[in-house]
Amino acid sequence: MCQVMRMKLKCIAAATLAVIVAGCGTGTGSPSGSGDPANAPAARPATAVAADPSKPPVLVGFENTMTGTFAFPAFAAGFDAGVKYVNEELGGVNGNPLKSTLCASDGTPDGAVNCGNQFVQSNVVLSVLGFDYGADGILPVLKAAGVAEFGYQAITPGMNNAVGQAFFASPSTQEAYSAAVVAQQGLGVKSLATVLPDLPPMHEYFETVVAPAAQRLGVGIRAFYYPATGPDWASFASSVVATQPDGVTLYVGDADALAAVPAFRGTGFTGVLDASTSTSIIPKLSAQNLEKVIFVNPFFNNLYADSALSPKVKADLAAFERHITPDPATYTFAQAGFFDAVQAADMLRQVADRTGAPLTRESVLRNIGNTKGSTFFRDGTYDCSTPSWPGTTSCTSGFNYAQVGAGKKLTPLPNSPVNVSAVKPVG
Amino acid sequence: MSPYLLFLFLGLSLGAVYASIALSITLTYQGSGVINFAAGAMATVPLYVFDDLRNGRFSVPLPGVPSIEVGEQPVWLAVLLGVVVAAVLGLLVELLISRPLRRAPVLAKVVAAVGVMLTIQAAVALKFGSDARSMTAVLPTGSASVGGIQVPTDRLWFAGIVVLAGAGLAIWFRRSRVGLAVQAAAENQRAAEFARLSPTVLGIVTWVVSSVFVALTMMLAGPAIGVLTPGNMTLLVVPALAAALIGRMSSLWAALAGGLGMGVLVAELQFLSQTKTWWPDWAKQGLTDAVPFLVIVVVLFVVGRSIPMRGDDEQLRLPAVRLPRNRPVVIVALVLGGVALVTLTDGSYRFGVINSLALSLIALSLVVLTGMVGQISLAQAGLAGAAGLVVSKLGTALPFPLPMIIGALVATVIGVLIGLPALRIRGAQLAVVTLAAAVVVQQFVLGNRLFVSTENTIRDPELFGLDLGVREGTTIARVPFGLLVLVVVAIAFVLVANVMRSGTGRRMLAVRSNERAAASVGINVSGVKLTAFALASFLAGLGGTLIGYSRGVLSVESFGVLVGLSILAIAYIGGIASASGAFVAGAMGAVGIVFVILDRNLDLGQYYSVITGVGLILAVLFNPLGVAGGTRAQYERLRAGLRRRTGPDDPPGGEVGTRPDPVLRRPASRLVGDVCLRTTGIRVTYGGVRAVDGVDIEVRAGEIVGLIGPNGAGKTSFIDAISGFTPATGTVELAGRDVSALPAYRRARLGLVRTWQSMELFDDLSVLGNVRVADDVRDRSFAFARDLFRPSRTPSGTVGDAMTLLALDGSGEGRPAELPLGRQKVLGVARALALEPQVLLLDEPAAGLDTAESIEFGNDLHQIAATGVGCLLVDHDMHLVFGVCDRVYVIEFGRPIAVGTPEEIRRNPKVLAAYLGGDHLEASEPAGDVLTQEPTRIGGA
Repeated sequence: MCQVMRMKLKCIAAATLAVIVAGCGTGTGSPSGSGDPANAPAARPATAVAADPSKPPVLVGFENTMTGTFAFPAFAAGFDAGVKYVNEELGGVNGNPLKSTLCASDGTPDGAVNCGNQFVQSNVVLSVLGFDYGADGILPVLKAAGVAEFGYQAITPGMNNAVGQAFFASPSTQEAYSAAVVAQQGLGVKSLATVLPDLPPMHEYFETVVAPAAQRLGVGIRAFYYPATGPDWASFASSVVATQPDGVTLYVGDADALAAVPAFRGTGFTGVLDASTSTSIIPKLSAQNLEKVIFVNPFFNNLYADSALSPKVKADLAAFERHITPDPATYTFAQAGFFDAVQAADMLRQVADRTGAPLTRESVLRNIGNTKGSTFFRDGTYDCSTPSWPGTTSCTSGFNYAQVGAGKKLTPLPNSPVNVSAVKPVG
Repeated sequence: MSPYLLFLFLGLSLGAVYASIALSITLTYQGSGVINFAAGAMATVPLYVFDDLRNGRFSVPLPGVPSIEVGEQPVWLAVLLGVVVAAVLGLLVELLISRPLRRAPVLAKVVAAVGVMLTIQAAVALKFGSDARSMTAVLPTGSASVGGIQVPTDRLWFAGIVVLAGAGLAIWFRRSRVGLAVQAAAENQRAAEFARLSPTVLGIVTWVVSSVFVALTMMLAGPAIGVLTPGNMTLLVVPALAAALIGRMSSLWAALAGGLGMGVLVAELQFLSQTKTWWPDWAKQGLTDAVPFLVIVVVLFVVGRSIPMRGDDEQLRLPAVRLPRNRPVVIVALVLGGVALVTLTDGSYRFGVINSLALSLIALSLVVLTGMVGQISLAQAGLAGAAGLVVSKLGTALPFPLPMIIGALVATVIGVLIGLPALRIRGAQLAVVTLAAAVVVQQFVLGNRLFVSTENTIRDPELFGLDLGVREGTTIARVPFGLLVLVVVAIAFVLVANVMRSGTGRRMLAVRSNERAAASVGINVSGVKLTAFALASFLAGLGGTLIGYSRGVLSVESFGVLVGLSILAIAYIGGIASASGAFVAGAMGAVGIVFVILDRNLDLGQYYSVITGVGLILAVLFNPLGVAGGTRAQYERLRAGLRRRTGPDDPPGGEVGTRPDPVLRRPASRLVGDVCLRTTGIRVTYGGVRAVDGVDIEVRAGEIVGLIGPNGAGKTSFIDAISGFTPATGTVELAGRDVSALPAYRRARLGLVRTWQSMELFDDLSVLGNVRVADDVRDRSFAFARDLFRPSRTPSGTVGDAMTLLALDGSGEGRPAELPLGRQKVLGVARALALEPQVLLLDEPAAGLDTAESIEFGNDLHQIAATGVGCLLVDHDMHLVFGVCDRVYVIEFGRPIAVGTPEEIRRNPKVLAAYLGGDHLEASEPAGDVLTQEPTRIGGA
């Protein structure tokens, strides 16, 4: 309906994707080129190496929505904490301190263009994306100047498709949509209703990714687009349930999920309900409402049962909490910002190792596509030499779906990480 | 049937949300004249405070003030706190914004409401964060069986409460002392003030009541409003405005019903579109946004003209237009200045300069549309986006500049379509319809995947092998691109400036000044409006294409609804009535040079949005003329001061226009020719009252015919009827041609020209400009194209003759308002005379004139008639009527009762009875000075 609403819906879609896409990796990649975060203990480890402040810093630009109706300052706080972690414990970028210049966007493409201009003029070697719905605006500026883009999640179509220019350490949007179908099919769903925001990319993804995936798996599927004005979920759920699906996938943000899940249950719907990333609703809903509700998370976090976390992930979380005390409401964003800084440093180290020379934007753009290693907060790996989904900027694959178990803690589903090879096009 | 019934009930709760905001908007409009576009945004403030307290936090809704953990509190306390916050917010808006702007232009009120909306959104995000919150039900939950279906109980409760509360509000408004006072003030603010109804108190009451009402209902709505974010309630005003318009901005009952009905309609359509396979995919996109737009358009089309304006709206004027002169020296200097800015800056600063230039075109589109024609549009950004979209589609297929031109033309077509409702409405109502249109453009054009793909790259422009792309390597803004933008902008500004000071510009200003008067001098008001919409849309489109080229990719978010609101706001602040204001606005726009300077040198951080919104409000409050207008006003004051020092000028219309000999003279000879005007069976009905009932008259060429009758006899209605300004039956023949079916402006063009009792001059034009409009109407062939390139033409001989005949030569450059009353009347006649009429209809031309002026006017009338013009004179000045008329018609209660020479009429018993009452018929002397007095002096020429 309006820009604000479009942003809100993009937020919903993006947040959903962010969570879905950032499931655990395949576990087949080679280890990171530098300090292994799996070894990070709860207290500052004895092996921690600080960056050498006498060396010239490696400057990266960090773009994040800081003003406007949908601002995510927690993301920037997480990124700053991540930079601190890199410089205090991971030795910076091969000894050089990692330094960032923040560009406060307002979530519009114009703000992103402004950030691109700022980064190019500041001579950054890499542009790191936080959370910005208008991020696509920066791409032409960076492309002309030969600056690579990195981020944890391609939340906009342009970023998702900018192969060779942008690199993301989370699975692609296409994989996210496919995995949602695969996860439902694995739970026995034969007729699936997909509830998406009424935005052009959502229509396109449904027709080009979701519907073909469902067809290949023999799942009946139907799309329901909810209005940008923000739906009355009681009304909308009734529309969806009128078509008698046995599984529903919601592409919604946390607040909508909190309204939507009870609304669907209120219609008498008893099938599988995919509430995407909205794990924050777990403490607020009854166990009855949460029955057969599944979730997907970008990272492992403190919502998971202890038994679900590997020692590496526990160490990552400990390092995170050493450097920042995030607000529970924005924990995921702070985690993502932290992730951005750590992964960017890891990639830059590899580029520096490969070139043996001070980092420049040219050398980073030329070599970042060859980086690979382990992913923070997860057990998997990333490999930017080959898109994890054909035609996308994603460096990782694999999704971790979970359901609510004892003590309202998340436990991974049996078919998690979800294998999408059956529906993945040959690239 | 049951699904439809279920969605009917669910739709009622959605409709209750619309209805409550619609009631609030209606009440605020009645009380203060402000169409509160910020109604939805205002409701978010108490909602957040309410939600915080429900979750154990006490929050004062001010950024920077920390919240206090107070533990779980009862719901009633949270509701009470929300109500208090809403009341305080309403009070503050009234006292700080609405009251100071009570007599400000409509546009200033629209911009102020936009400022409030932006400020609240930003402040709420800053204070409460941008995470969406789910609203939990306050009312009893569960389900109830209605007609065999299960309906959520809280929705039934909510709809019921809104209906009851809305009905209570409507009754209070209709019956209570305060409500009646609000209505009285809405009809006539001045009269209300005389009756000791304080507009301040009424304003406070309406703002507080409306703010509390909508906040209270939203708190009770719970999940029916979806989720709570700083921005998601903002544009709930669009469907609410549609409902308010159904209530003609005055009936709370109708607004309530309209809101409920629209909610049901949206819910049912949503059900059909989501579940029925026959529903086309393309029509699913943005469906719920389109419904309010369609409702608005239909309602305005049907009842638009009957929507009552507030009494004080009539006085509201836009800032005076500053017409550009296009002096070659100034143009060259400006272009050289632009070249210097483009070449001497670099990096982000150059990008800011270039972006400012491109944005200035969109702002210029508003100068044309709003500044020149008085039409408010909130859709210009959407039009710019549509043009940018065309460039992204055609940029690779067609050589530059074809994609740019085609893009601008596509925007033109869409803009004209959006402008169609403007043929029936104007002012804030047009703002409403264009706001809704902007939403539809965003959803159906910019948001429709039929047009928009996931990537919309725009190819760099290239001309004759010359790369004109915006960036290359680390050069983020190249000089060639900057010069390209400069050239396009310079050409556009020069051509638009030509139009503004040409006949087309005069017609536009005439329409802005007075649509009725414009039609009476033969101006096709609809045509002028659509021309303005077309030109403005082309300019916005041109600006959109340049912005697209500067970005390298089309992002629809660059052209969203809120962007459109912001552009209108900065255009107003820059100076909506002058071309130079467009440059100021461009500089202040998104990624414009002002933004770049602030961004690079000041760290405003997360407070930037709040500061921007507050700055907008302050700018409207303290500089309602805008930066350019204010500067110009200062300059004019300075010049006036200098003039006083060097000696007083002759006042316009002073000595020059006064003739010392107050003797009514008949010309030596005046030929009376054939019948040039014949009316047969003219009837005019207002409701159940027949104002004119079968009046037949004839006027011959060169003849002066009087039409008299007591007050309320139907004289003006008769003039309105035959000149096409009021619906009537009967036949009007002009020189033997039946013109009964023609609109007013066509009748005027054929020679049936009228003047007005209340003068109805074009205050935005000079005295000469008022008369020159006749030339512009007469000379219409390719006028727009000609005016683009050759605006300055000398006035025709007819205009000069009219000015000379009526002794207005010395007053040509002054403003009509600077003339004495009598001379203003004469100016109205001169304007009519310059149209070379066959018949001149004069509606009380002597009203307000003193005896000498009246006599002078009589002499002028003789002169006019001597040129062969047939004159129909309606006036209460019997000295004048009997002194100049050859024949006189008399009507009473809309019916003809007598016709004859002045002498015959003077002694006609029916006429005497009509004027003096039946008793006087028995008097031996023909009674009544009014009819029996001889003219002051009648002498031969």
